[in-house]
Amino acid sequence: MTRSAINTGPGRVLLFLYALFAVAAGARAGVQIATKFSEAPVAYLLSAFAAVVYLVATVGFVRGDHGGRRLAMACLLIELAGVLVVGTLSLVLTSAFPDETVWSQYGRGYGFVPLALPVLGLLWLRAKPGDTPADK
Amino acid sequence: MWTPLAFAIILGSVGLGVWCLASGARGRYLNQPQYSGLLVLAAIVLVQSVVAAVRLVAGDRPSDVATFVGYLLTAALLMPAGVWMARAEPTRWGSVIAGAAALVVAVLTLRCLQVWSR
Repeated sequence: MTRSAINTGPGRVLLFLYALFAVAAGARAGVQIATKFSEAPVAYLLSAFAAVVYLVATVGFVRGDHGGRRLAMACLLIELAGVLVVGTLSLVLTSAFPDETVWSQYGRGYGFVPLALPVLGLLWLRAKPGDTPADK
Repeated sequence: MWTPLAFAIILGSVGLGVWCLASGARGRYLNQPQYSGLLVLAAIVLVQSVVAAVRLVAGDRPSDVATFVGYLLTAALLMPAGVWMARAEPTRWGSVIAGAAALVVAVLTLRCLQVWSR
């Protein structure tokens, strides 16, 4: 590990929270899709998609190397776009979201953590700009 | 679910969570009482899960069993996972991980109670 490792210090807090959200969103989407998919298919598929994004981001943080960093960065950008777009749509087009997703109303059902996570994550990755030739 | 135990878990985990986060904010890793508290909390959550599992099997179950089991399992696994990750990070950030885990256990236990009584 070089000093620019993304999975120590605050990065390990992010790793923990991403793993938690992968489990939480994944379990919720699984239950919803298995028991009442027809009620709100768009919302439940979005929850499942969010779970996959959290899971891949977790893998990126666990790897912590150059490739892992890029993986995490891509997921965090998708996640930020997702929470902003879905959060706005859920307020404007309430009829399209009869049931909650992780990202509805900017993650209000989860204490706005889904909105805070990608912002904090991107700030953290920016503070740890990856391996430079001098580190190797 | 045993309601008095659930309330004890919620109170204990909020107190412990805030205490751990305060240590993190002051730049400190967990001290021994905090660490022991986390282990005790993990054990009590496990006891609660066993109580709930027995009642589920005995036929005393909420209307939304799948959701309840999801919350219950997550709560049971969260404390051991949080303690394990906090140990891997023996800095102020380990305290933050432990504090976050304890606060999430409080939320999950509250959700368990709500689903159970529906």
